[in-house]
Amino acid sequence: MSVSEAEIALILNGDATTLPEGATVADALRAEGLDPNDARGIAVAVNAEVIRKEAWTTTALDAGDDVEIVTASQGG
Amino acid sequence: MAPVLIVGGGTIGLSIGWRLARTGRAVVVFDRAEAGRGTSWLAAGMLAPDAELQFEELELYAFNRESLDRWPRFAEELEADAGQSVDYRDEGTLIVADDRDSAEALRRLYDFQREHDLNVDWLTGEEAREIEPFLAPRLSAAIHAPFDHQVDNRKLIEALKVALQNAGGTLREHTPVERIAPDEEAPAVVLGDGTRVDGSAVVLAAGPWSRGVKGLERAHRPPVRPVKGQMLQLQMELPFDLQHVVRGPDAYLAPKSNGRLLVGATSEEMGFDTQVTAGGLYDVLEGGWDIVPGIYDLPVTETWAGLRPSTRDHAPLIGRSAAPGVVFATGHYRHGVLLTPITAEEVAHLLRTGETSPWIEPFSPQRFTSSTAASA
Amino acid sequence: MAARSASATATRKPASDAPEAPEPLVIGDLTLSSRVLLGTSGYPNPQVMLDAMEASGTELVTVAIRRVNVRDASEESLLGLLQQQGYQLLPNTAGCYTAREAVLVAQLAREALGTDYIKLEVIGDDETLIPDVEQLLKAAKTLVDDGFQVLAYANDDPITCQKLAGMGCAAVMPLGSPIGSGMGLVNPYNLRLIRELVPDTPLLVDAGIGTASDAALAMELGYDGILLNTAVSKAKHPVAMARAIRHAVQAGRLAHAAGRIPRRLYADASSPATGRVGTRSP
Repeated sequence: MSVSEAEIALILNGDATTLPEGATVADALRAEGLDPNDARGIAVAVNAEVIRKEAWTTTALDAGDDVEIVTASQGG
Repeated sequence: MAPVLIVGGGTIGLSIGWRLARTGRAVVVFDRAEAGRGTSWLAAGMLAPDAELQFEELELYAFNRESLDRWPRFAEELEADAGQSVDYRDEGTLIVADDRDSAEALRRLYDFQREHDLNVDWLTGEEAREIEPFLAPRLSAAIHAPFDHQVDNRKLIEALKVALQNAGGTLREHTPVERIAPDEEAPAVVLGDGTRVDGSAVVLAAGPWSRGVKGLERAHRPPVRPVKGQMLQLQMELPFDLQHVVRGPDAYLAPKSNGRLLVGATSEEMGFDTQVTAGGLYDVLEGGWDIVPGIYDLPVTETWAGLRPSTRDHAPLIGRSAAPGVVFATGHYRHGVLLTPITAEEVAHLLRTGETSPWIEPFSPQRFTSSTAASA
Repeated sequence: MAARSASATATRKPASDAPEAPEPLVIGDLTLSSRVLLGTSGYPNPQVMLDAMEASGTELVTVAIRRVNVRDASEESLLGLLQQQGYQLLPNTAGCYTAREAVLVAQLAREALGTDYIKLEVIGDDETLIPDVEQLLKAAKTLVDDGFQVLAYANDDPITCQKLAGMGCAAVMPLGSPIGSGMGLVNPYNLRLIRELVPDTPLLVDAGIGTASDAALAMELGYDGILLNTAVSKAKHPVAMARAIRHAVQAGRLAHAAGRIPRRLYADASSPATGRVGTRSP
């Protein structure tokens, strides 16, 4: 994958992807089709650190970051 | 009379259109892309009510069974109208166990099938291998379900498109319906370019995408959610041969007459994601290889992920919806191809006569109007 | 006749102080009127799951934490259905093999679901799904220190369970037998020892329950509740099994409080030996 200067390459839920430089956690959520303002039941970790909801719009992502977005699913 | 407007050109929408058109009714089937390239194209075409019998789903079984009984005549009429084959195959299905725990589970299924008078036979591993020599040597037991048949779902789609148009129906592909405008007398659809098309009834048959069609009140939308299934297609090459559908604990194999061998499928709650993943293919391949190891050398010709339209009770939504003038024919989950004849015929009957037949009454789209409903 | 017996009952004084009225199960700050915790996986369909939950009487149901890809988080999603019905959610750390993974999943669960409660599960190998004790203890310590209410899924080893209780877990949940095996309580002796060594922390049997009698036995051993999934979800009639489990838990709890008789090697006739027809008085 070629990366232009205005983009950063990172891992989003296990898949390689690119986001614009300066993208925040909230932008990553939008890239997954989620609304950061109505994200009940959703949590985010960047490089194995949980990012609280309050910090989604202010936490910028860096190239190579590993972003995990999770929710509840069936389990015992 | 204004036409019946059918939203969604999969096997369900096309077949309703064909059945109506051949009785002289004006119909228009809309598909946002090429018709039948969604769920219907990515299915396996198994007509398998006996193998898919589930605890607590006996009402659905009776419906599945009735549709299977209608399949041979449906296929015959369709092939005559379209002038092409749908590859209806009646060799039957083998359900196999590959270890002690799965043999116990298989025996439990068999007892349940017999309790409900299904026509199935218990085979030893050796007996099963006499029927299908490519089954794994270590398989210890199998159920033979001779009445579980199959069609080629892709040929079915091609035939339905031709038959619909030969009978005078209109197919509008690459024409997304933006919105439904419900009305008891004169419902309509509004297309992506803003054009309004008036009809005498609207049929929502958009499978997993049915919930997303605009224009219905929130409470009236069909409670359908997508369930992802990853599959792959192999090309059978001699000496490899398989005649029956074979179902194991973790995968099934469905051979088609033109050499396609479908291996599926995962069942994942992933929303509308259709990415093919290493893990998904691995699970399906390992499950297929466990029961038919001879697939090892076959070329992989296609991989994909499809979406099944699932409801809360795994039964379809067929009949009048709460929205005036709008009929639902969706939510067929893993039984869309199997349920095509009965859905098409009973919905066509509803649209011609206004009567809801006893066959579709239990599957009324209005059974989930309250969130705590249907705790029967 | 009915009226007479009713009035007779009404005037009778309670014979003992044995607990007839169900007492709630208290885990940390959580007070539950049902002692059944139920999993949400593997039902024939979501409607059967909801009906089985209702029949079991459960108030707390377990969920796993997984990557999302839900572009349409509709009310038909699992979370939507459970929240509509008002169930409290107990997230688990299923699928974690190290303390590090389990701690991260617990933290994500807290953020996603707004709960400090976590069913801690750190698995040692994927054939038996038996916990890795070293990693389990490490994760439990970290999470308790981080303010979590930890319900620890554990081996049926009395010392491990005692350590988990000692470090402040909200509940300790030894296995009856491996997850999904339905083999019941294969070592009731150990489970009883655990109860004796852990008198003050809630104990639940988690995993291995196959049918109602297993649930009753767990309660008769003095356990505070049970957590189960497969026994209900894969039963031929999940709703009926859920109802059976509910009654079994109540019956086992009552039997435990009622105090069972000691076992004897020889018979001890229930009917009086005196005044028997056809025998001479001694």
